[in-house]
Amino acid sequence: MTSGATPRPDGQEPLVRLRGVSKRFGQVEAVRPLDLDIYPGDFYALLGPSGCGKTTLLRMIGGFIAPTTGTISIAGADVTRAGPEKRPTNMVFQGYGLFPHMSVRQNVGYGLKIAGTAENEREERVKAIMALVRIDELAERRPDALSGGQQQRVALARALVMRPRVLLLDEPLAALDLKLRKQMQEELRRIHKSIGGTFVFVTHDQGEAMGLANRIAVMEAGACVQEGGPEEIYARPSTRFVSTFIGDANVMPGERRAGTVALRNGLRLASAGADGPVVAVLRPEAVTVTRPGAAHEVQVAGTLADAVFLGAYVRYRVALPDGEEIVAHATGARDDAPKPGEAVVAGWAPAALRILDDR
Amino acid sequence: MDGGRRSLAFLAPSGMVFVGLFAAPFLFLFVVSFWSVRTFKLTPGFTLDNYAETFEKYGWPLAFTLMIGLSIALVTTVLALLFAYAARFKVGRFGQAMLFVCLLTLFGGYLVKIYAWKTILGTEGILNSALVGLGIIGEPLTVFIYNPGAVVVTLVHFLLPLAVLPIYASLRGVKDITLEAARDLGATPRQTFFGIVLPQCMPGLTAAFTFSFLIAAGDYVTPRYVGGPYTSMIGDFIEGQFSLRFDWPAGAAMAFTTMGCSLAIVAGVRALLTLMRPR
Repeated sequence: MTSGATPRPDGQEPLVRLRGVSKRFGQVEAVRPLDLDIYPGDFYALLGPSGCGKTTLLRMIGGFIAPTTGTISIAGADVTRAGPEKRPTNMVFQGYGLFPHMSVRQNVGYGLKIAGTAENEREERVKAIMALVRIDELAERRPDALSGGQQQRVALARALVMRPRVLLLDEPLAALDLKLRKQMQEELRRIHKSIGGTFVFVTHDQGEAMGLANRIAVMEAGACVQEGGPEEIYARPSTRFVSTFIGDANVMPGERRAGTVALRNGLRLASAGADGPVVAVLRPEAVTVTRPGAAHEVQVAGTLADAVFLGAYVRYRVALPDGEEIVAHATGARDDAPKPGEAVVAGWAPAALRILDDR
Repeated sequence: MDGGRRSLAFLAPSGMVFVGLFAAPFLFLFVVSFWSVRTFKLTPGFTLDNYAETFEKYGWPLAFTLMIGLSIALVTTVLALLFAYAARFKVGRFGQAMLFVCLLTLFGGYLVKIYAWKTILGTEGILNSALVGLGIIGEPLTVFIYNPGAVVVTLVHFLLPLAVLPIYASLRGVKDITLEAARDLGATPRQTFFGIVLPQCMPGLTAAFTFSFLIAAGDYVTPRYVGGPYTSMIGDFIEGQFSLRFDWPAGAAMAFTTMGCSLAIVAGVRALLTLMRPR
């Protein structure tokens, strides 16, 4: 149920602190009680498949939805019952929500105008932020005369100009095509670095989360199942779901009895823990495929089902006698590589295999 | 047939109706407005007397008509905005039902509504009976009907569903997410309404206002039934010129003057709204 409540080694206080926060819509528990700490300077990803509650969670942080239980505090102040207009947060909405009757400049300046900021300061800040997100050339255009990527930048500028303590981004790149997405990712990284704020974003794209965030909370069915740095989550997924949602993984079912795991494919290995069903997960890049005879620390024999050249690596599928298969990624093309149909062995280092309780 | 000819063929029936029943009589009456009548006979010529007479004799009814038309248009537009706003933003999926009910009232005819208000506001009417029955007043009051107020009430009631439609249509184009964005940027509900919602539904509001104003200012049936002797609207006099006095030139001049003033007011209101746009 809880995660991420561990203090930072540098002793920093969290900027956003969620305690026991949950949200129920009628019979549906959109977010189950969870704790979350987001620290100043974090580029924080809420990652999960659609319907996992990540957007609900983000909207609760922004004040658009009141939590059913729990408390939310930002910068030490309890904001659980405060609306978005009273929070030091600003949101970049999915679909942007630009004001169609205002020019880009008016859109960006709206929040400052509402706040009663003096006109010359307002103009200065609007100008600076438009330069930062590179929309200064579009200042007099209306939103309907902008491309999706440009609208995205305007939405970003409109939120950033308020100098929020926490910038919230709801699927910021989902509506953009692949090339623009990569470009905007770069932009977001650059902007985050240059203004040094705290960004929290929602995404269903694990690549986006890995590429942008320094902390990721992986969500599944309303619960936060793992929280940590991208490397940590990739290297040590805590559940079967996390291992397959983040990156590719071979998942081998089995059972643990008295400290020994017996996988269905015949492998046995020592593993401490409670008796019961387990899965062993193995990243494809940790697997080497060779002809029989080569020495591996752990290996299974099978037949090479196919080998697909994917540019940066070759993807091998090895069919095992029990009907399961193992996927391996090998970088670099080899002339003596085994051909489909050949008998092969798939091998890996023992440490590459992670045993997870399969509940 | 090529594309151009074919589209012409499609336009022809409505074009003929437009030319035959609107444009031609319109032009004819415009010409007639410069003629005169001698011994009950239309006499061609060119005189501005009819227009001079319109301002001299009917200046007050004209001004009164425009004023009452403006009031009716204003009240109708504001009420229609409230209704459409509630249907769009405040009642969730009941919005469609509200709109349906609103459209349903269009099935009741114009005259039916006038008589309905006569029944409600008259001395023997529902309102008086209720007030007497409740003991609030001793005798039926005559102040409810046969005055400009009754005309305003009746016409507002008649025009309301027609005004709701364009406003609701433009409010449907206002995305909820823009309201959330405004709130996120610190706007109060009031600021959001005036700064975000209203400017976005301006086309609908202007359409509703223009429509209500032109219909109200041109109406002469409602004042005749519920307006009483002192609610003299210009339409009533114009009709009299044609049907009782057979003074077509005078009637035409009055009609074109009314139309010109009405269009000037509409243009003025539109210009004002454009000037008021936030910068």
